[in-house]
Amino acid sequence: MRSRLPFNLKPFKLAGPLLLLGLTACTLTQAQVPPRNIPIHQNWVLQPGSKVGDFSVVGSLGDVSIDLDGHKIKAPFDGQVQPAEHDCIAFTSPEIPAYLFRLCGVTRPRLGDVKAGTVIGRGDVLQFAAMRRQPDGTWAMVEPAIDVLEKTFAK
Amino acid sequence: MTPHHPRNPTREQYTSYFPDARTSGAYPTDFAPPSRPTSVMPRPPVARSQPARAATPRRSRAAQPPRRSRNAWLAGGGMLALAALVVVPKPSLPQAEQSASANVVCQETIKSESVLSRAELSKLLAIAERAPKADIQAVIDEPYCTLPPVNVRAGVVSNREAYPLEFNPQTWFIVLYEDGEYAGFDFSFERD
Repeated sequence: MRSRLPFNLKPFKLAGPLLLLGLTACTLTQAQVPPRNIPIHQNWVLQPGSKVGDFSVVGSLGDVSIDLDGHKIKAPFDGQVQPAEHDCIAFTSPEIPAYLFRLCGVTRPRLGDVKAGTVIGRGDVLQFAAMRRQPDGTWAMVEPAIDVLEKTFAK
Repeated sequence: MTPHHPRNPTREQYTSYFPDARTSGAYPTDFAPPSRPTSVMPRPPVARSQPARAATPRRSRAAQPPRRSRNAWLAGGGMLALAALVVVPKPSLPQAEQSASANVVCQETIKSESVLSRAELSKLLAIAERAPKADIQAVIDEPYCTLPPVNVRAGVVSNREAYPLEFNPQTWFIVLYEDGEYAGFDFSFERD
């Protein structure tokens, strides 16, 4: 039965697998970054992603909420971005040992090794948490310096 | 396909499929499979405000624009453009912006021949975080260089010292101090 479409289907048949290949290539490279488990020193019950009834907690105690309105989020130092629980990402850098930044609310984050200044995503309302490693291996929430925040959201 | 069967046949050809076709509404047999094998799915005739095409002289096939190949090019080009958007990696930032915010260089070289041996490294790893700075300095010598001080925590300036590893000079051991306390270490790979 001949197609009723006004154009020929042959180009679609050729480009379809190509498009699929491209999409799988993109998703596979992102999937290779292992997730990061962040045991928090302050044993708060509510964390980003917790549920209160039908509603999700977006930011918890220790998160600094930034109204980015879709602006870019950049890596403040050379480091690596790993996925964390509940749509959050963990940023660590060998240049600042003993510190970890947890960013929640980042849309389409760029995972893996990144250079300082590389865009790692965008966000509407970002929840930024700075954590410092404790001797027992847990991470304690600390107040981030404005300097680091400026490096992360600088235009 | 019959010899004279253009892509979009004129109305007059369809009327033969519908002996008593009506111009308004759908004909019940429109949705039934054709009773005899046909190469084109019959379309019900639709009332047109413009005069029927049959009234105008039909152009010969040779004079008609090659609609099929043009549409094919458009469709193929569109799909390739879509694929390119997906496959092409994200554009990187301009080099000037990257180097301005990069913090990879030493601020001050302290002792250019300073390296960290395996024995010193294993002793360092045994020291817990938040130990006084003196504990670290008891194990290792002066650093190769100091990195610029950084403000990570509000109200606290962090100092960093770097030591290349003796057994792997391209890997640096970076130590962070805050308020005279040892905060932690990390390894920085692929350094010059």
